Amino acid sequence: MSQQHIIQVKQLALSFEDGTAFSFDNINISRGKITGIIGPNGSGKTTFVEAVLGLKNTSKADITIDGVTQKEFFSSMKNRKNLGSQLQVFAFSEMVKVSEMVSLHKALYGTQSKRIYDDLALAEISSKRLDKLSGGQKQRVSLFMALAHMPKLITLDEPSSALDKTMAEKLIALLKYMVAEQGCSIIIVTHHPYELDICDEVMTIYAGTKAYHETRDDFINQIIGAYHAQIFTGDQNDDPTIETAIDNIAHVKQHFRQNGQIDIFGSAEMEADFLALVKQYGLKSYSFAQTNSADILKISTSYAG
Amino acid sequence: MSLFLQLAAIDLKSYFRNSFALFFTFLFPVLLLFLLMLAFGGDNGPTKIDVKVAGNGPRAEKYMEDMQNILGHSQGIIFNIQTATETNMANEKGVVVTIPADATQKVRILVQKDAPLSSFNSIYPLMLVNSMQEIDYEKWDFVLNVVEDGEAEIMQGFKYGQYLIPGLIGMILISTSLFGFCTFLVEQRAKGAFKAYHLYPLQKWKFIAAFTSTRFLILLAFSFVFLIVADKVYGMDGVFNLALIGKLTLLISLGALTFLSLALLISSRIMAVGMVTGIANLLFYPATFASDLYIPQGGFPEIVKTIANLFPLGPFAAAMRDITYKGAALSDISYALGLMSVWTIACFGLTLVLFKWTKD
Repeated sequence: MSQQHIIQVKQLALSFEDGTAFSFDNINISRGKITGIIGPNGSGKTTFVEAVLGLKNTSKADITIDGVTQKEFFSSMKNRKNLGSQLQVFAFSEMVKVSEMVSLHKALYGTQSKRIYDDLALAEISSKRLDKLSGGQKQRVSLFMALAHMPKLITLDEPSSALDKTMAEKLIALLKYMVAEQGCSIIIVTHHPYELDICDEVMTIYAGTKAYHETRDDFINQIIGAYHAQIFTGDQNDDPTIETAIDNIAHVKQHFRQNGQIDIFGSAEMEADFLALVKQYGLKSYSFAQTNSADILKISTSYAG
Repeated sequence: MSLFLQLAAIDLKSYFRNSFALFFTFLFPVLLLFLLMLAFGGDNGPTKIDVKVAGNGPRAEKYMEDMQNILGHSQGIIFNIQTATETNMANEKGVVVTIPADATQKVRILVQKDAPLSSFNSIYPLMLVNSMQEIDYEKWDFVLNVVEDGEAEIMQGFKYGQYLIPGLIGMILISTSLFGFCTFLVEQRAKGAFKAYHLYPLQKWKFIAAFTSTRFLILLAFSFVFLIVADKVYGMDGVFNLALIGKLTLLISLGALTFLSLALLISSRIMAVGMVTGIANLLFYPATFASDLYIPQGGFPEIVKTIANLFPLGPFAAAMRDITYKGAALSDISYALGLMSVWTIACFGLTLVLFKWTKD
């Protein structure tokens, strides 16, 4: 039993009717950390999480959750009380009121955090039926059901996708608190920079398999590049010599050209050569900054593969 | 509140907030009753029945007496008794009943192809008296032959409404279970609503028990509301004392559980809403048609009757008629009770094993 890892996926394979096949091997999700799963749409992020949760038919599955096999984990009600999941689709019976969902949660888990109820502002919608809620309000209820019992293991699938900025910030603060103060382990499938900002580890999935799984810092420094230079080429867009010039810059890890814009990732040491290139081509519009979560998401989706 | 009660309370409240579901559970059956009674209950204007006595004798007299006793309860049927032969029957319009002198020959009920529509209103009451035996397509569009006199005697004084109401209760129990409850579960699964249940600390049996409890209460409530409305409007002539109410409660409860368990079993593995609707239709229409609910079973082939009587719907309706109108004891309906118990136990047992939360 690994104390270091809350989830260990030695082998996981899924195949679909259209002939596509997903395969995830040797993935370890760290205990007490936030792991972000990123990748393009349809790459298999949600499928991976749902397969780990036993919601998908798998052709091979050797998965350990909190020290026991996946089957043992889900056959124990005690274990399930330690799990909280917000799925991509919240499809509860629409005639149910929010207050009844809150009561159901209490009956299911026997414990309920007042802080989470307050932070997600459920009081103001408690008398409403689910079919009368907006997408964001439904998401708050869904998050409440996943988080209010302070579970050891939390899986969230684009948790703030429908939330307004204030509520999204509250959620981020809440997740940080749950990891720091309660020791929760969180997996977030995300497309949002502010969600990725709080991740300790990043796993990228492309075409149904894991591409990278690193700490966020290692992912930026070793895989992507700690710095991000951008050139807006405008009418020089078609000049092929720019890219040759970029290739000659030392410390560049990778660069991409798209829609009149070139993104260059590398270490801090590339700054002087980059500025020389800007001067050489007389470029007016450019930037040079540390790589951030938005850059990670862009590189993992726009330039997938 | 315990998890079971919480689930049951939420399900019950949700159901009563759904006006569509309420309409089809409580109002639609009453509308159907009114419609069928209007069409076949004898309130549709006078219908002439020509009774052709092909030969005199005690059998013909007895049969006419029985028929007048029976059909006399149907409002607006006018008997026109005359002697006739087979040869002039083709000139008659409407319903013609021919009673042969020879006791070995069967009495025939004939409806001509150009008979006025109102003539058909008398067919259902006549079918209560008799059983459909054969159809002579060459000469008539619709030919009914009457079976033994003894069967007619049993049905004396029996009104269409009395026949229809237990049948309709059975029909609504199975239709609500299949089309209301079973499709609801499959829809929920198809939408992904049950994925969350798989992840909650919730055993399947608790969910199934809570769902069954609330839907059972809904079916029980429907049945008694329907019985009360039917009795007030049409006068079922049952003796509604405590003993009868007790027996009806037991029978309806078991019937509701039987059809609920069947619905749960069907829903346990089906993933597509379209498929469950198809299966429900495949089960519902033959079952209701062959189970003596609103069309008498007598004329069906023996194999159909045998199969229909192994399915709980027909025995349920027959048992309900027996205890309501004939004062039958529970021991008299033991076949129906036993059959429904076997179906209920088998279906619930299989459901607990087979029920899946997710479609994947």
